[in-house]
Amino acid sequence: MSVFSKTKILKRMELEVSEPESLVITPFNENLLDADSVDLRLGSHFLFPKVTAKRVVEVGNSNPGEEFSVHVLPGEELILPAHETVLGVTLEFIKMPFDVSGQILTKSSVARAFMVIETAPWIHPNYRGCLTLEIANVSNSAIKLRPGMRIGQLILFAIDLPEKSNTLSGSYVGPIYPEAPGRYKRHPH
Amino acid sequence: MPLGVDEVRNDASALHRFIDSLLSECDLSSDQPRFLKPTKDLLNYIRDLADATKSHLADFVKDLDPNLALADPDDFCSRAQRIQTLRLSWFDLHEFVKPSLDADTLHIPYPLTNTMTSRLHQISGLQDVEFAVLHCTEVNYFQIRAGYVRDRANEIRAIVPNAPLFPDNLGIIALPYSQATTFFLNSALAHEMGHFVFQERGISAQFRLPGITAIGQVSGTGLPLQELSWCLDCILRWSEELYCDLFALWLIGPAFSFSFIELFALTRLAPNPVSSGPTLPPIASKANFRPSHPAEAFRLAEHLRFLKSPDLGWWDGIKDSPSHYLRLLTDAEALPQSCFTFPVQSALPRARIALAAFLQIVPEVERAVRETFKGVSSDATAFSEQRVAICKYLSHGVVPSRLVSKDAVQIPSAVAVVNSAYLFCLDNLDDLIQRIDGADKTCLECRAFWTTRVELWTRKALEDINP
Repeated sequence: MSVFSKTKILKRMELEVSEPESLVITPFNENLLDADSVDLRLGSHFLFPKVTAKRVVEVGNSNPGEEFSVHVLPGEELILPAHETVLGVTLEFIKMPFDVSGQILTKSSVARAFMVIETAPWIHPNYRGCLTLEIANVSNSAIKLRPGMRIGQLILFAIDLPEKSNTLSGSYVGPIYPEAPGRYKRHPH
Repeated sequence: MPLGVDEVRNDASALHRFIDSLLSECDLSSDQPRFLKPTKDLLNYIRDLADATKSHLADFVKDLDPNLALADPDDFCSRAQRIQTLRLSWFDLHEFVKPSLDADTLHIPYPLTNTMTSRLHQISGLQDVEFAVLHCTEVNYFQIRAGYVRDRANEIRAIVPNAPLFPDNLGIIALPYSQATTFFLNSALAHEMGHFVFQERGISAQFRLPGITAIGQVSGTGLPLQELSWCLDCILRWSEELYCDLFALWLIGPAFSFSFIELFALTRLAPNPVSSGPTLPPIASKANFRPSHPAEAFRLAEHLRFLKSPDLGWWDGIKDSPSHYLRLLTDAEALPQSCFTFPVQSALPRARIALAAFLQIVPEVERAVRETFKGVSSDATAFSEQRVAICKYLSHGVVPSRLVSKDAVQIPSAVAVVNSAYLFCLDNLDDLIQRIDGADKTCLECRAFWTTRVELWTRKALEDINP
């Protein structure tokens, strides 16, 4: 399994969207690229869990009303209190090639502030959408979140013997806001 | 029996409490929800006005002199009456607070309003105009006449000398609360922005003389002043509506026409592509003018004529669409002028005159819109160049905010994205659905789901293009 270099990432991004090998990252500027990764920025939509005494989470499922949405305009900030969690989303919309998997890592500067952004970091081939971030402030202080701040890094890996497919599948197709587990998992047929 | 000092003091106190209660609703210090600057400007204006009014009331009560009530009861009554005037003005302003507070950034299509406002800023003299968006309970879009709010504010200023002026550059437009999270239908807001421009620039005056001339030509003889005035009022109202329609087409393109068709539920009047049809197409049933608005069929016909005009340049880019929306526009355009009527039972002769005179000044209205947008591109060329690529992105489930082709990378025009995506939903949604594993294009829920997704991708594209 080899990690994509900057050159290889750019080459995939030059392909037309209809090419199965194409990689889309939008919005994009070359400053986001490192030698072997792409920086991802924080989007402006968040989904907070409603914490009540009676709430019990059933993993993989949620009911309407158990979260509330928050929008933060560019240039403004959101304070995440100590030991609290929120679902966020990347500013970048990603379309993965059919033969590439990805992994999101917390940027080291963010990690050193004791903030975790991703606990399910694997991105499957052909995925498309903004990436939901499970942001947890594990520090003892509140942390400021600013839309547009660099928060994660996307690492891309070529996969062996990839299968081409003409259809899109998967749990979440094309989200641009953070989505609660289960609610949108299956699109209507 | 005239009011005494105690009663007036009580009235002032009641008003003070009313304003105080309203003021507590306008508190923007909380972290959530968030509002766009124009909404904050409106609410902050109301807060400042409230503070000035409260301060004035405090001074007013302090200065109440029991002796004056006895010595000069007329003057005293006049002062007491001012409290009532203030109260009525505040009742009017009260109407704006809750609808503004409901329209936070999660509940308005702000990427679309931002796109339209950015284009508006390209118009000479409108660089600093902003719009506060409110919710309304009706399934309707409208503009609050800026002059109306200014008048209420001025009534208060006439009594409260330190009251702030209503901002000149602030327009107020409303959308149905239920449509706050939809996208394409809200293209109708462009028409409401047109009302603001029309009213603030006094464009109505441009149609007065041509209107009177046309009435004279149509009637042949001099009409009694009252009838002339009635005809002219109709003509000016219709001219304003038509101006705003054409304004919206220049601002946001044919997406406005499509939203108009949806808003007025006109799709049921679209012709069947295979039927030979009756003598007049079904849209002819919408050929009646009303005192406030031109007929829907007339408006659609004018939309298409304007879209076809070379300086807008939209027609070549959309004419191949198989959508029933396009067929409806084409049908409307083909209607003979003779089928438009203005059935006012109580005033048929003058109604005929008003309608015939209005039809004569339609070119004046088009000219006025062209004058407004002098030097501002319609973005139809960008649409024609980028539509195929934008639709390709959407059909692959990808946000079209950065278009890659063999030759180059392109950031598309926001207007091109809105119109391409709208047409994509009308014509090509199946291209997307067939790519989704197990999705059924005949399933209503499925179509609604993927249409919503396309709306979200369009919204995201506009956010990316115009952050």
